[in-house]
Amino acid sequence: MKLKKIPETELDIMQVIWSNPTPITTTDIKRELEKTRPWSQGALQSLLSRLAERGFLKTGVLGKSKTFEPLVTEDDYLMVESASFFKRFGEKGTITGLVTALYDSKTISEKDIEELDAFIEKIKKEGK
Amino acid sequence: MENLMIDIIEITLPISVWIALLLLCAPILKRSYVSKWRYYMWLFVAARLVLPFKISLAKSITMPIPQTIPTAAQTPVVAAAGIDVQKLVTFVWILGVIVFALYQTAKYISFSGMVRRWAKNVTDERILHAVKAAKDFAGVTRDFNVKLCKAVTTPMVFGIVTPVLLLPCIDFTDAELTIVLRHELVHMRRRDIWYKLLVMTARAVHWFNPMVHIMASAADRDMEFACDAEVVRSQNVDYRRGYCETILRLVHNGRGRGTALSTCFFFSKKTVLERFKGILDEKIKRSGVVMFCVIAVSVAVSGGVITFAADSVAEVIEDDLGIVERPTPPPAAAPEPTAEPQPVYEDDTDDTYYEPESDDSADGYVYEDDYTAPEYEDYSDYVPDEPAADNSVNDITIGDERGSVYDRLGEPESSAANGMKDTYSLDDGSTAVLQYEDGTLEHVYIVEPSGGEADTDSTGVSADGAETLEE
Repeated sequence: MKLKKIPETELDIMQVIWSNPTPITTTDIKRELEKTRPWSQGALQSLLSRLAERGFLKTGVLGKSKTFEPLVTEDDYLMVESASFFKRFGEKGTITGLVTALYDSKTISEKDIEELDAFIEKIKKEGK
Repeated sequence: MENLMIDIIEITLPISVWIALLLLCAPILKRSYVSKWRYYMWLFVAARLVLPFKISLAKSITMPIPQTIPTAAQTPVVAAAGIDVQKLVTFVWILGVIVFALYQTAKYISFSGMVRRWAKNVTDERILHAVKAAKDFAGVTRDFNVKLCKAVTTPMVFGIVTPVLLLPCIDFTDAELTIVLRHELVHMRRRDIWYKLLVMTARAVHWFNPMVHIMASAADRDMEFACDAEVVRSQNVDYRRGYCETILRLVHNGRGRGTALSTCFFFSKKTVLERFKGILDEKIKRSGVVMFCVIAVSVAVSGGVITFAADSVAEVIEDDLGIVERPTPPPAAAPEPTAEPQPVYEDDTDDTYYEPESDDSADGYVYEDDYTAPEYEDYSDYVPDEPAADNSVNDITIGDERGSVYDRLGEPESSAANGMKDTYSLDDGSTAVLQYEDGTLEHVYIVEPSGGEADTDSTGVSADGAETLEE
């Protein structure tokens, strides 16, 4: 299944679903979302059904209310989104040169990491 | 526009040599000098690569127009094909700059969209408190947003206009948090994003020069080394070791995330190891201020010298083609003494000397308004009469025998002790000095009463000079 990029508003909803125990009811989602800004019930419902249509959510029923469960984990989705970013700008390239990060991990292989571990281990021993 | 391209090439070549030299010397200098001087050196090199651009532009504007335009106009045979090639090269270069700039801008906007989607304001008091402490440590005074972002695996400062501190969603220990935040806030205080923007501009302008791209990654590395050095300054071994371990933890954190947005620099294992060694190195190093200044001046000058030399070459070519309107040819610049031999001088160089002035006014009369007019009149009065009427007046010329000069001018008023110089007083109060060598006339000077000396003898004293001496 091919996942499409989730628009920003819908991503807010997805993040609520990802960070709360599921299945979750519409009322609970709305309550969580309204911690940042007010939402209309109708808009939320239509966005939820759109997400379900596109295969991000599984719907269910709990008593009288509709419930939702994620079909895609947050990490998986993030992977897809960043992969599309790298597809556009190249795997090897930097995200953008205009950040000052503590360090980059991209070009480091498992073997390299082992070597770095060994170096730190050695230093620890020397210290004792 | 074509000149711009030439300016760029004139800058890019010598600076490439400097970059190569600095890169070669870096490992040796690293041992005894702080990394900060390299960090500033690259900043300086990047500025040199970007700024001379403007200096050269201003320079070509101040150049006299007749000197540049005729070059192209007067050498159509040679230049016809050359200009097209130059235009093409310039076009390709500009296209490259635009493509590079657009690509980087797209990348930046795309990344910033990604950050906006995934970043959440930090509400954790522990983190906010640690940020405040780190601000004090680094000396950052401005306010900025601190966000947790799932799309990044390493802490970073992002944003050109309004910097945002992004933290990955990791449970940092207090010690780790302190180190990570100090590092990022030192970056922020130094405005390293602006530094990177300058380096990137240099890359855009010199996109065709691989040395500039190599320089950019060296600058990225040295920026981290310099930042590390400040964070661990006067800290003990345990702190330094903790720093290394924090970096290592982030290396591990980024590992499982594969394609997540963790990449920021081309940091290889070698670079990380180098950083560890730098962090653990407690040796106090020299600042290298003097060396920095010497190299900085050399770098600044090296581009200029070549540019200057190229201009001189252009002038020589124009001279050869005889198209240069010389603003001040030597005769006009030569001293205009009031001494009477002046007409000699004018006679020799008549064309060049009078041409510009005689152009726009009635012939002949112009001379009378002139500075040199009286001499000229004297001369014209004199010439028809004396030489024609009286054959006793003869030339003195360089190479004349002393005796024959004496025959014509009479005994000198005084002679130098060594017998090399004779002097004659002239009507206007100046003195003529005749210098002999082995009995033949070698040189003639006119010494003015004020003591100034006018050398009238360049190509030989002709009849006129002799006449004036004769009275």
